[in-house]
Amino acid sequence: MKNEKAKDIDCREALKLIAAYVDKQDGEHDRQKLEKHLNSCQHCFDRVEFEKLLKSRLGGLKLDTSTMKVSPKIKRLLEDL
Amino acid sequence: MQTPCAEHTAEERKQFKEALLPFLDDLFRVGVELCKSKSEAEELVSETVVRACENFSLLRDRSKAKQWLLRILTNVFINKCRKKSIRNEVQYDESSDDEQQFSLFDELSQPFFWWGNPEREVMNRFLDEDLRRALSALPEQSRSIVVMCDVEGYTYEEIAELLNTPIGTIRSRLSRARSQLQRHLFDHAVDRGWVAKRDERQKRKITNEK
Repeated sequence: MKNEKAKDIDCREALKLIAAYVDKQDGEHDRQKLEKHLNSCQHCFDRVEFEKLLKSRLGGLKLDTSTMKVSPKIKRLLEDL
Repeated sequence: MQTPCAEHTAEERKQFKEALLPFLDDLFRVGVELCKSKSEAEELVSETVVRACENFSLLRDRSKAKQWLLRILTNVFINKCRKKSIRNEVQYDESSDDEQQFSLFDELSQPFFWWGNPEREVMNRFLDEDLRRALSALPEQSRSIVVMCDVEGYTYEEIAELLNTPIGTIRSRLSRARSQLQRHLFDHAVDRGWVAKRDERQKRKITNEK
C-alpha cells in the first residue's frame, strides 16, 4: 500500500491539507499523507466529509442556463457588432 | 454607446461572433452568479462583449476563447467592485489573513456524540435558498472567489489566471471567504434555533426539533 509509506501527520497538519484535498487541488504526496491520517482519525475524517458536503451543496447552486435567456439587450449588442 | 468593433472588418466581426456565441450562456451564468442580479449581469456581459471585441486581435489561440472571455468578464467585475469598494466596501486586507478562521464544523461537531452526526444534520437542514443568501451576504470579492471555486468548479490555477493573482493569495482569500460564508451559515442556524449559542466554554447543542 502506498499510504503505508506516507509520513504520519497530526490533526494540526492535516487541517492545513484539507481544503486542497476537498477541492482536489492537492498533490499526490499531500493526499497520501492526509488519507493515512484520515484512516486513523475519525474527527478529521468527519471534518473532510462535512467540507465535501458543503462544497457539493454549493456546486448544486450552479445556475441552469437552459432556463435563462440571454437578454434582448445583449442580443441587440451582438447584432450591432 | 458607440458601436463596438466599428473599425473591424466584416470578416473580423464574423470571427468574433463565432468565438463568442458558444460561450455567451456561460458568461451570462457566471455574470448572474457574480452580480446576484440579472440586470447587473446584463451590464457586465455587455461590457465584456464590447471589451472582448475591441481586443479580439489579442486572442491568438481560439481554443482558449472561453478562458479569455471569462478573464475579461472577471476583470470587468473586479474593476466594478473596486470602484464600489472605494465607496462602501471593505477591500481585501491580505495582512489580516492570519486572523482566526471560523469553522462551521468546529462549531457544530460533537466528537463524543457518537450516536449522531450533528454537523451533517444541520447542513441537511439548509435549503439552497439559505446557501444563496449566505453567499449574497459576502463582500463581492469574497463571493466571487467562492463562486468560481465551489459553484463553478474552477481550479486554483484557473482562478489565479482569471484574477491575475498568485495561487498562494488565491488559497488564502478562498480560505477567508469560506470562513465568512460559514459564519453566515452558522448565524442563520442560530437564528433558526437549530443550534444554541454557547458561551466561550459551552459546546453548542443541536435542538432536537426538526
